[in-house]
Amino acid sequence: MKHIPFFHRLGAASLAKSALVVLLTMILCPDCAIPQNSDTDFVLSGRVQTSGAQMLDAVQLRVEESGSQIFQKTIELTNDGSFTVHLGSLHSKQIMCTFSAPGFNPQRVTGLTGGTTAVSLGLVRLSPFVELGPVSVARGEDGYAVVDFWVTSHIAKSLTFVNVSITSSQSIAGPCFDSDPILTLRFTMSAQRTSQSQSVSTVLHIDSGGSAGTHSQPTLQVNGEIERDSCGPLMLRLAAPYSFTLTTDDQSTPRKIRLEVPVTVAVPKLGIVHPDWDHATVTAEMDTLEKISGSPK
Amino acid sequence: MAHPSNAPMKDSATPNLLSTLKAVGPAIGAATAFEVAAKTYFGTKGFFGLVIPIASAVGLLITSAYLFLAKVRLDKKKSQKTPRFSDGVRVVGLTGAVLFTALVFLRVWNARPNAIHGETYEAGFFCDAASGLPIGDANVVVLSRGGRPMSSSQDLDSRGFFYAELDKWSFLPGSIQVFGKNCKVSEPVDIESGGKNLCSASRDADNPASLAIHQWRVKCQ
Repeated sequence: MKHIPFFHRLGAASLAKSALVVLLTMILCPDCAIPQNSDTDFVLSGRVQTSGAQMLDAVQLRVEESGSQIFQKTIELTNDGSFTVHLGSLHSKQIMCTFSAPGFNPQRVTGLTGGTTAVSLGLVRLSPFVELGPVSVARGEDGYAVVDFWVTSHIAKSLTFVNVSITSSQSIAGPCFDSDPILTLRFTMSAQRTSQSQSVSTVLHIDSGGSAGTHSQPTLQVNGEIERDSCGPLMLRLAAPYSFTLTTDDQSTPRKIRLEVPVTVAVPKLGIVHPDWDHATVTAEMDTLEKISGSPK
Repeated sequence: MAHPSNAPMKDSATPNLLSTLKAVGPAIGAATAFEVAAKTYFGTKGFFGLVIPIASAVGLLITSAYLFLAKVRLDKKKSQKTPRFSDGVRVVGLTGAVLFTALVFLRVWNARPNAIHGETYEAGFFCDAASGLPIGDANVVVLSRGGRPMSSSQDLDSRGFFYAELDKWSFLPGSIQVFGKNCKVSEPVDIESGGKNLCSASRDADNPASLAIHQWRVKCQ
């Protein structure tokens, strides 16, 4: 019987070829040996912190992978601003996460997988470009509540607001109805710009009776909406189409806006509604459709 | 009578040195002068910055090898050859050959394709040299040591961070070209010039420890 060397029996030549191929593959393409698992769920985490006084309890998060959007959602933040979201499978090593919130400059942060299924972004700092607040409420004369709020620009360019609205619930729950009342009311508003020497920049007087009051500016129509989900309190929202602009000179200088709102509103079918202005929410809408809100503390 | 430069020289040091210099001096001078002149003309970066040192080292290697290996035939009728240079010169030639072989390998290794023990990615932070703050609204391209782009254009994020996957068939990564809208950086940034803890935004990041992340401070124009 012819003697066959051990290595020949094993197919030394083919083994050597295989080893060479593996070696070359490892040298030339280190990542080829690591298959991407398409079923793996990647977890994205981090912490969001604001540099202004305004705190956030939620932010809008958009995640892109290789230029394609794979995730977009408003995510809740914990008390310390932390968040964790599940992204599903990823096919590349990096993602681009964009955080945005009303009144804040969006932040684009790169996330890297680093060979694991956890993507940690660390601390994401959001800086405000405009702030609304603080909001304070006082009892005015002639059955009006005075709601003051501050608007502060943090950027060196003009910001234009096109709408100011205030929303509040009735302090006492009304009777239940078979169908939820959704009524649109009409109010009138007169705007008065006060002099520079006074602390209040503008007074917006909203009158439910239709008269312009004592202010000299022409009246504007204000839409008021009454709505209710169930037997709970009635919700009143007044949207004033008041336009004002914060210029570059206003940067870092708070401007005070005053809303004079009626304490009681006569609503057909419902009678007298008593909005709880002490717990109202003031919203200012910019020409970019971005809205910033604030409530009395 | 044999020509002085072709005769074996083992008698005195001075004739040896003179004849050796006559034989290989021009070659040594040409090799070193070539590197200096070529670097002056073509620059020390880019493709020529890789090829010129190799060519120069190869020239010196050939010269050293010649010193060690060159032989002459004493008698035209005999096939036996004897070393052309003295033993001392041949030792110098051998030593030079060894050193220049190492130098050639080193320079060839530096000019290897990125696929051979190279980098699969480049990642890091760019910030303003004056403030340490991220340079916003910019994108970067990684250039090979040959001066050619070896990555796609990558936008810097809000932290001034980028991650770019590199072409394996280019030379090794050498520099990064920054295209900023508000921060103009004329010259590519040398990758080796990066450091640690240079950019403030890097402290907020939580990148995987397994990745090599650099930081560069650049002067905006």
